[in-house]
Amino acid sequence: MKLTKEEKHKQCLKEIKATLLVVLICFLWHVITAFLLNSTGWVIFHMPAWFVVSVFGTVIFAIIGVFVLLRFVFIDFSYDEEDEDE
Amino acid sequence: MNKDQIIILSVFLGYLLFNVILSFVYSKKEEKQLKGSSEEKYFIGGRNMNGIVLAMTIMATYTSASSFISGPGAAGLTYGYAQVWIAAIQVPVTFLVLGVLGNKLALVSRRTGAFTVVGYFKARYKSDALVIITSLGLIAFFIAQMISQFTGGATLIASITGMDHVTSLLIFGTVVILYTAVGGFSAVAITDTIQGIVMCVGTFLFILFVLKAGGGLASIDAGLAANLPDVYNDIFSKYTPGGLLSYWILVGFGTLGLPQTAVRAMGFKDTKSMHKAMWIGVLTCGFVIIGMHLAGAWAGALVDTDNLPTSDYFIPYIVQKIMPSGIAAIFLAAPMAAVMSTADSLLILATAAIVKDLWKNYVVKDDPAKNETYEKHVKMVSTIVTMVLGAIVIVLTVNPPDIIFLLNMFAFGGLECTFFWPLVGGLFWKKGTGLAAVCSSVGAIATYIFATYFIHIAGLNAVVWGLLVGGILYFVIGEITGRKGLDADILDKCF
Repeated sequence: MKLTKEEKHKQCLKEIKATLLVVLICFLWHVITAFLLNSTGWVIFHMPAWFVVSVFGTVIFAIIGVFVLLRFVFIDFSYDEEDEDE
Repeated sequence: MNKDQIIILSVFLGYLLFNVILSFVYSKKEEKQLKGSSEEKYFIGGRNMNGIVLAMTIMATYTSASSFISGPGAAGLTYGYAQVWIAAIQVPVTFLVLGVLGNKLALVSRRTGAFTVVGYFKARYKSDALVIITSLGLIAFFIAQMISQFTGGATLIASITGMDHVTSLLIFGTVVILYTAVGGFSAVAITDTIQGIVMCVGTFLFILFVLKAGGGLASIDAGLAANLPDVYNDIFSKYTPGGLLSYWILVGFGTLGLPQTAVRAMGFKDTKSMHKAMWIGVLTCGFVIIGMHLAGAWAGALVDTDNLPTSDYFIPYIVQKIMPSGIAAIFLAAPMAAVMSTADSLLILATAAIVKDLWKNYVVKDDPAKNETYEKHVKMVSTIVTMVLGAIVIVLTVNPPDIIFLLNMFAFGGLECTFFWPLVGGLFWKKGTGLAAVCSSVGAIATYIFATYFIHIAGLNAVVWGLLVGGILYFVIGEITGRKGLDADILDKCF
């Protein structure tokens, strides 16, 4: 896709904000679930529930997050066509 | 050396030799095919990485001795599942770095002709002080990180072959230095790719054999309860909440400031490559990092390991206990790959800092005659500098630190403090001036070192204080000195 310099800058900012949002969601899930479930003593698959829910949940959020980013936010554009565009 | 050790050593040496040959052949091929100057080919591989190579080189550079030896060893021997929880913070790193820095650095580095992070600083801030400070910081912290990687490589060879530390160090160091020096960035990237694949295979083998030896998760749980009572299943038994949270800064968000990963954002071909790398990165990084640490924690159930000198010996020890020697050799190529791929990246970037960022900028300068000589000899000089630098690291590693993990983490935090705000802030904030960047870098690193020794609040890692002070200095001084705006050339090329 051909974008002008300004459009590229705006697209970069959009991608950055979305990426940070995904990582923020991973962070919140990872920390909150582990800290809240730690004292429960619950067990899943012979492992502590805080660990299973927090760690595997974070991996799932990360994978879904990348899918969403690449499907709805990130676009293909050329790095080398700025002079012609402007 | 017994028969098993000879088999393992043979596979190891074969693997090391394979890396050297591969890097020679590939870099020769790339040399002919790639366009651009000699230094661009040597230091950034002509900005030609595809998605797989990009993902693997980021993952392989990021995962190191800590990811395969120290971290899993600490999980099994001391910290249990809490160590795996910390490791899981690293799962989003590949797409965080590429999503935030990728396109912007790819665009700006092409406009400015930069192919090192310090080179980007020179174009973005036009500050000699910043170039010199960040170059020196990079060299110092990379040397510290290389010492930890070389120690990891030598420990691995020594622990499985019975050879002494110095001989093991010489074997490991010579191979890494040789292929990095001769092949440059192309060699580093292609060997990183192979090493990334080896790491995935090794992780799979480790999980499989630990589960088999442990007799399933129920037995492993019982074993952990016996070997690490009240620790393995409690996240707060060894860590404070503040300490755990600060790992999200140190090995999570802070990785945006690591020059060894950021520079990858200057070397890929196009947006398609970056998008592919985000996919491959999250999957491989998640599998290798969580897989190794989780299996490491499970391995804590298998044996009584009171006699090990440090947790760094745990993984090589346990592998020889639970795997047949042929398989053990294949597995042990994985941590070796992790160590080599990190060490080679640090070595090539430290060389770039010396040759390109310091020598070219302050000795060669704009003199046409000197520039002609520089362009003619840059590859040879870089090769020699890489070799000398590697030799210095070998000498410094003869008396190794006790724990690789701590030295690596200290240097890791130091790099983040030096680079984070000038790099991230510089890409997006138009008021970020050279003075703001210098003050941020110096202030953050000084605070980091001070806090390491003197500030111990709620278990927070010193990097939190370093980045906090660095951020305040960057934005306050930027606000004051950037009111008139940046000069037109910076605005044109960097935004």
